[in-house]
Amino acid sequence: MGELIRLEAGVEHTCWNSSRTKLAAGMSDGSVHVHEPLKGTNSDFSCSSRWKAHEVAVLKIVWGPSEYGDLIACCSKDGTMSVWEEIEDAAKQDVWQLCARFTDIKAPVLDLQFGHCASGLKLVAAGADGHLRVYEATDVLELKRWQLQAEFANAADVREKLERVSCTDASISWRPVADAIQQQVFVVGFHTNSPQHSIAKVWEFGETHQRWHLVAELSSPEHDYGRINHVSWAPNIGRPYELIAVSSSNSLSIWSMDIPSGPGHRSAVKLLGYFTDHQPGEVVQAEWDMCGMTLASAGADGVVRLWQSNLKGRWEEKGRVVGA
Amino acid sequence: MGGEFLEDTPGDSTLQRMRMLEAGSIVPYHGNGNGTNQENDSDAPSSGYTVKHGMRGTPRIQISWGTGNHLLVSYLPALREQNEDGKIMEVQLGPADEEGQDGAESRRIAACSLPFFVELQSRRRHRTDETLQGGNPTDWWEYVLKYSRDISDMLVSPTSLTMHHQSDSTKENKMSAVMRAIWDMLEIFYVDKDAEPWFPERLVDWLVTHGPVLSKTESSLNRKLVDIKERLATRQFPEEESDYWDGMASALAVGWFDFVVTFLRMHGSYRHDQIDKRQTENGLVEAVAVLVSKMPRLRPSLPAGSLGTPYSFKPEFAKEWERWRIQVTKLDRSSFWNECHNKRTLDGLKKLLAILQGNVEVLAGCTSHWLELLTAHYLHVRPFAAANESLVVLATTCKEYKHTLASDELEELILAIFGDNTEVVIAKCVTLFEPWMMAHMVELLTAKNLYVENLLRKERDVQGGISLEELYRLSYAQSLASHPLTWQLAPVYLAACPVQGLGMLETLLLKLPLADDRHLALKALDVCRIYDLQAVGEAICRKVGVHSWKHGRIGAGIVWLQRARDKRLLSALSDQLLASASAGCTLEHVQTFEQIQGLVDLLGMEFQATGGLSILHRYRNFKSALQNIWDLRSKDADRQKLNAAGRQAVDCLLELFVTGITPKRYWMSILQDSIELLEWPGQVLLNAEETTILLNCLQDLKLAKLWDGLDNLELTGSNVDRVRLALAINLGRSFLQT
Repeated sequence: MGELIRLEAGVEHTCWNSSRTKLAAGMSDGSVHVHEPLKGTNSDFSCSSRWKAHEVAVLKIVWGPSEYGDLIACCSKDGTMSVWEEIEDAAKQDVWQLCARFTDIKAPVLDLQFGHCASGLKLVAAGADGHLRVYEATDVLELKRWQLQAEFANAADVREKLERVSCTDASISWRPVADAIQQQVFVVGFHTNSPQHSIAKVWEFGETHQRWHLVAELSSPEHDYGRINHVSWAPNIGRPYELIAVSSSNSLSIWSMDIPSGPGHRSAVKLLGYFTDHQPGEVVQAEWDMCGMTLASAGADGVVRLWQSNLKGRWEEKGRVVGA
Repeated sequence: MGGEFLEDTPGDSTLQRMRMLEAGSIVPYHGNGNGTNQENDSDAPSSGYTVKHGMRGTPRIQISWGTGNHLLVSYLPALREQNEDGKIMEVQLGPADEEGQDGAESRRIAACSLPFFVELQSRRRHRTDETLQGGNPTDWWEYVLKYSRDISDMLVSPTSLTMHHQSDSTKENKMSAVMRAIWDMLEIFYVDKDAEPWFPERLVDWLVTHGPVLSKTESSLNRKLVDIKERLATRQFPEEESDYWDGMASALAVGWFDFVVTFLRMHGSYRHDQIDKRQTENGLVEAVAVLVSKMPRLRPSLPAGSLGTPYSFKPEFAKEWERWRIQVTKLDRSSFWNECHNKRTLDGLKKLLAILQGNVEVLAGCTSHWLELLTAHYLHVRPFAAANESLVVLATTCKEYKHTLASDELEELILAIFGDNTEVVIAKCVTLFEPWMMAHMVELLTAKNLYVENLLRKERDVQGGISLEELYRLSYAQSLASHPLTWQLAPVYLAACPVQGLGMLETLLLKLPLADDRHLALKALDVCRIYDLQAVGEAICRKVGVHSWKHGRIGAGIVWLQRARDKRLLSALSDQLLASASAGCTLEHVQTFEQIQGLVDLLGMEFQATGGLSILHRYRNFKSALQNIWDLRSKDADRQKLNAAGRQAVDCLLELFVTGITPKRYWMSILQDSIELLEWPGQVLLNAEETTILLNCLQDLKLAKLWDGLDNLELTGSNVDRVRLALAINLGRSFLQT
C-alpha cells in the first residue's frame, strides 16, 4: 500500500489503461499528462508525455482498447472532444498525435467511451442535449477518420424539455469484452435535474435493423435513485445474467439484467441492492473487479466501500478504504 | 474419572451452521489493522484499510481495479483546494499488504503447492476413467492423504527451520505455521480413515508439532521444557527444583514420554558420589521411568525416539494396557515409598503415577491449555475412545475447566473441526486464512464425507450458479493474478473451475501488459494454446502487432498480425505500406520500396500466402521484374533474354489485377508502369485477352471517377490518355499477330 504517482496541481480526471501500466490525467489547463514507468523497466511512474489537448479544462479522459494501440479520447469544458494516439515519429521518438478533433458536435460532450466491437472501433459520446452519438473509425489502422454511425435521444422528450431539463454530467459503460470482442451494448445514465430522465438505460445495436434500440431501464418505483453520477457494467466470466452498478447523488444500486437477447426483447431487470451508506449519500463512482465479484464504490465522503454478495445472493459491505 | 466431563451442551443446528456459512465472505478482506470503524456503526465490517494520503479537506476519489486484488485510488484535490497535488494510491486488498511483509512466503507456498494440486487433479481424472472401465480403483481418501502430507511438509517454511526461537519468525511464517496446524488437524478428522481408532495418539503428535500455535505469547510447553532441560542439565540435584517435577508432569500428561524419561534419568539418586543411601529412592525413580517407557500405546508405530510400546490391534492393546495399569497401581501401593525419605522425589513420583492412572485433578493441574488437557484426558483416561464420541462436549468441558470462556477464532475453528461442523470450519477458514487455504483444503474436507462433498460441490446461487469449491478456486486465482510472479500459476486453478474458470482466464490474459513485452506475450500465447483459447490468442497477437506497427517496428508488427490472422488489419497495413512506396518517385519513395522489398524477402513464402499482404509481394515481384528488364538493357543482353524478362514482368503485372486485390487508387500508377511492356519493341507481350483486362480496369477507374482524388502528377488527362493509347495499340498489335 503506498503512493504510486504524484499528480500535478489542477488535475481534473484520471484514467488507467486496461493493463494498468499507464495513467492519463486530464488537467484544468486543457493539457493531458501520461504517466508510466520508464519504458522497458519496472521503475516508478513518471510523467512521460504531456501536451495541450484543448484550450480549456479536460473534463473526462478515457483509454481506447489496446488492440488499437495506445489511444486516448478526451472531452473538454468547451464541449468538444478529441482522439489521440501514441506513435513513433520520423525522429524515432514516441509522440502523442492528434487523430481527430470533433468540433461540429451539436451539444457539449459530457462523457465518452470507446467500444471494441466486431465491426470495428466505436466511440460513443453522451451530449448535454441528452443525445447519444456513436462514431465509428472508418479504418482499422488509421484512426483519423470517424463517421457518425448513429445519433439518438436517451429520453424521447429531452429535446422538447430542454428549457427545463439540463444534463450536467453523464456516464457510459460498455458491456465488457467477452472472448476478446465487445458486443454492441452499453448502459448510460445522465445527471439531470429531471427525475424522470435520471434513469440508467441499456442500449443495444440491432444488426438486423441496423439501429440502436432500448433494451432495459434500470428503475423501480420503490426507491428514489437521485441524479446519476456513474454507471458500471460488471465483467461477466460465466454468470447467466449481467450486473450493473449505478452510483447516484443519493445511493448505490446494484442491478441484475438478463443477457440482451436481440431486437424487440426487453431484458428483465432486478434490483439486487440499494445502499445509502456513503455519507451524506452521494456516490461518485463504482467499479467492478476483474471477475465481477467485488464492487468498489467511492463516496463524496472520501471513503471507498467494498461490496460482495454473500452465498445467499445478498449484497453486503465487506470492507472499506478510508483516506487520512 | 472422565464421567464428570460429559455434560450435555446444545450443539449448533444444521440451519444455524448453514446461515453462518452463507453470511460469510466470498473474498476475505483483512484490512491493514489500522481500524477504520470510526463511526458507532455496529454493522460496519471489521476489515478496513487506511490510506495515508495527507491531503487537505475531503479529496475527490476515482477508483480503478488493477489485475487481481489491487485497487488503485486517485485522490484528486477538493474543488476549493485546486493548488494541491493529486495522488494515486495503490491498495492491495487481502492479507498480504501488512507492514513488513513482502508476500515472499505466500508466493513460495503458491509455487510449491501447485504440483501437488495438479497431481491430485490428474489422479482424480484417472480414477474416474478407471471406474468407468469397471476397474477397482484405490480409495480416494488415500490419494488425498498423500496430497495432504505433501502439502503439510511443504508448509514448513525453510526459514523457520533455521530459527531457534519462535520469536525470530516473521508474521508470514507464523501464519503458515497456523495454516499447517489446521491443515494437519483437518487431515486427522476429515481424511485419514486409518487414524480413527487411534486419534488420541494423533492429538499427541499434533501437539508435539503444533503446540506453539496455541500460545498467544511466545512461550509454549515445548519451549518451556527445553528451557528447563537446559537449565537443570548442569545441576547436581535437579529434583530439588520444583520446575523439574512440574515440567515432567506436564510432559507426561500430554504424552511426551521421551522428555519424562530423560528428566527422570537426570535425578540426583543416579549419581555414584552419594553421601546418603538413596538406593530405594533411585529404584522408585527407575521403576517409574520403566513404566513410562513401556506404556502401551494404541498406534501402528512410533516415531523415532518416542517411547512406549505400540499396538495397532485394539483388543491386544486393551489387554496390555490393563496389565500395565495393574503394574502402575502396584507400584503406587508399594511399601517402598515408606523408605523414600526425599519428600520432593516422593511427591513428584506420586504425581507422575497419578497422571499415569488418569487422575483428572492432577491432569488438569499440570496442563495449561485446554487442548493439552483434552489430549491428556484421552491419553490417560479414555485411550480407547473413537474420534466422534462426544469429542466436542469433552473439549468444551476442558475449556470450562481451564476457565477459557472467551474463545479466539483459532480455538473456535478447532472446536468446529472436532464437532464436524464443516460449515463453521469453512466460514472460519475463509476469515482466518489467505485464499490459498480455501482453494486447497476443499480436497481434504471432501475426501471421505459425502455430505461435505455435496455442500462444496453443489451449484449455488452465488456468482450465477457455481459451487463453493469453484468459488474458492476463482478467489485464489484472483489473488494469484495480483502479482507478476504468480499470475502464471492462476491458469491451473482456473482450468479446474468448470463453469467460470475459462472466462476468468480470458479476462486475465486480456489484461496482461503485453503490448510492449514480447516475452510476456509469448507466455500468454502458450497459455492460450494449452487451454485452447484461440480468440484470445489472436487478440493478444493483434495487440502486440498493432503496438509494434505504431511504434515503428514494421516487421514485428506484420509477423504478429499474421499470427493474429487478421486479414482486415493486414490489408490496411499493406495498403499503408504500398501508399508510402508507390505514391511518388522521389528518393524517399524508392528507399521505402527498398525497405518493403527487404521486408518481403525476409518474411518469405509464408508471408506471400497471407491474405491482405499478398499485394505487397506481388507488387514487389512486378517492380523487380521491371528492374530486371532495365538491368538487361544496360548490359545489352540479347533479344531473347529481354523478351523472356518482359513476359515475366507481364505475368507479375497480371497477378496484380486478376483477383482484384490491389486497391483501385494504385491501379493508375501500375498501369503507367506497364506502358513500357505494352509498347515492347518487336514483339507483343500481352495478348488480346490480357490487354482487355487492363482496358476494363481503366474503364472501371473512369466509372468510379477515382482519379479526382489522386495525385495530379500521375493522373493528369495526358497520363490517362497515354495509358489508353498504349493499350489500344497493343490490342491492335495482338489482333494482327493472331
